[in-house]
Amino acid sequence: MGGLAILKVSDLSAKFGSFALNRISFEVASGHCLALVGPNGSGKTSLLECVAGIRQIESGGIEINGLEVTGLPPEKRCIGYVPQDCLLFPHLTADQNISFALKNNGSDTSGRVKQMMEWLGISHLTGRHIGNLSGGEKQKLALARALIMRPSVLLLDEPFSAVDRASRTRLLGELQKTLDEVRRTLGLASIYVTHDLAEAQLMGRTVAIMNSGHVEEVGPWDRVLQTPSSTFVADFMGFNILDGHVTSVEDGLAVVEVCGQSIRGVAGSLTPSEDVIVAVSPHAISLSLERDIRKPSWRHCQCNVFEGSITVIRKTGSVAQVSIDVGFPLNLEVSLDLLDELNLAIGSRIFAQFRASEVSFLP
Amino acid sequence: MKPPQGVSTFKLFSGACLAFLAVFLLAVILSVCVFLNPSTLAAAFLSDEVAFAVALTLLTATTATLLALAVSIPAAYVLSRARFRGRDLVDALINIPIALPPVALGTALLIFFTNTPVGVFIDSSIVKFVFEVPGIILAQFVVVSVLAVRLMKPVFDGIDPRYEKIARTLGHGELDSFLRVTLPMAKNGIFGAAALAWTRAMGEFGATVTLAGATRFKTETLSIAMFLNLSVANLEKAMAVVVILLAITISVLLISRKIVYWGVLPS
Repeated sequence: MGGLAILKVSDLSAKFGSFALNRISFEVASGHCLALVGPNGSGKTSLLECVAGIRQIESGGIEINGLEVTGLPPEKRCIGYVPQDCLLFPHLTADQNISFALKNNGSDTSGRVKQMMEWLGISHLTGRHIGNLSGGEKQKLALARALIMRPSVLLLDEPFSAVDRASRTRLLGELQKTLDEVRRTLGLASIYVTHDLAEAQLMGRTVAIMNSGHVEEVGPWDRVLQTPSSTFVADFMGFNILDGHVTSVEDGLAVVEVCGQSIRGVAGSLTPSEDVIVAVSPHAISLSLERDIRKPSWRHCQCNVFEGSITVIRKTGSVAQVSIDVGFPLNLEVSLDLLDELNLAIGSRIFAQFRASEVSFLP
Repeated sequence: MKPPQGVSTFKLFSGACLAFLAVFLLAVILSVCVFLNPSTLAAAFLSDEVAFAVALTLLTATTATLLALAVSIPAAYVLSRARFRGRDLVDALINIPIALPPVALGTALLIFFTNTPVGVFIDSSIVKFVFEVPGIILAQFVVVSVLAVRLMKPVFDGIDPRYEKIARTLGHGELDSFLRVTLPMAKNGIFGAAALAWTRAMGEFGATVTLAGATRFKTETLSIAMFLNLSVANLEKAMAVVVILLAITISVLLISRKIVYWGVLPS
């Protein structure tokens, strides 16, 4: 990860009843956002709470700006935390919620609160009781409250979990714009927790995927999407997961048999006769009515082409989830435009194409 | 008979139960008022004995309630938030003064201050409780403090502890977070508990009479004044005291409800 690491978590372990966080390490650089994803119950919120100092850890270390903060209470860590449901103080007005974080900051309190509210476009909320605010206003207010004390690290825990889907898309765009400006201006490192992959891709250039209390993989999105490190990561990312058997390795390409079909991919360290898991991203698959490679840029690449029939079409918004039986099931996402253009329906014969370089082999 | 349209039998039954209780209590109260004629009541109000009892009751009940709150608020908070070994035992122990008859509680206090070295030392060298005014405050304190803990624990249970955690991340220490977040959020519940505890202290009799005794113009609270007048068959005066006690407690309960409803308590 480029840039100076503002937040450094090393070998963090913690136990809460029967659940534990195990040896978690990652860094977040100044001005960067780490998207922390994982299924429900994987420990994302617990990890944030450990970083914020709300929960005690058993071992490991947390550094902020090069200073060890592991033993410090939350009030001494200079971390802004926006929890899942905002948790604005109901007995205080909107501006009082923000100034709450400025107890020791002297006479310029009201000026700073006003400035922060103007910056986030919530000046009209001054004096309002938080019970009358919309989900988006609450979320911006919680962000303002966390930012007013000029933290080095900002932790956002599923800020849109309680917002309806339509508002969520709009708010996500607004938050992304605001956070970009915040990060650029304040140079802070942030962690954005979500279980929504699209949201995570939008908010963070780097991703950490959690599973049962440990981090399965940390890295830039491109790398994780290109070469997932484990079956769990591939499965969580929605990859097609197939059991295969290496039949040959030649010129750096491995041929793997899956349900009687041969899939070609970059061999890496694979050897013949080995059993492997084949992972293919749904975004790497292209559809064509003919065997010939449809995408011009792929024509000089090693490609896999399989003929099959469409078994499921599930339309959601402007895209459709399509399942194809090519001897083994392949799932992919196509635009409704392409669906119309190719005149696809259940039972249609179709060719699924994907480059050998897009195939990941997992042990 | 069929219930009116839109009202279920269950709701009708529940309403009837509430109406029965309200009418029953009102009938009891009215019977006391009807028993008294205005001149007897006026004479009782103006008597030195009743004035003394009112003043002493207000003083002791208020002091006991304030002391009880000072102890009960932190105690209820810890009982609500902390998870420690023996928590269930402590919770059960706190129920004892509620379960025991007040007379038994007063007897236990009397034995402690007259028959144990620590109790005797306190009574003789620090504060004299036995058959004295501090004894009234102590008896009321013991009864109402546990009641206040029981009433306030659910108030703290209902406040998400994460509010305090958020306050911590916003630069406030543990005590500051409690004082600036949890306490203001619990204010209505605490005020309601305080009002109920105060009225309970106003009417406390069993533990008070056992520990502080029933001495005219010395330890004569309203409930003891009622007892003393009943014991000499002065029924009119005893009932006048009851009316005064009822008037004070009903007024306080009504006013406290209105205060909580109007939300006029400071944040």
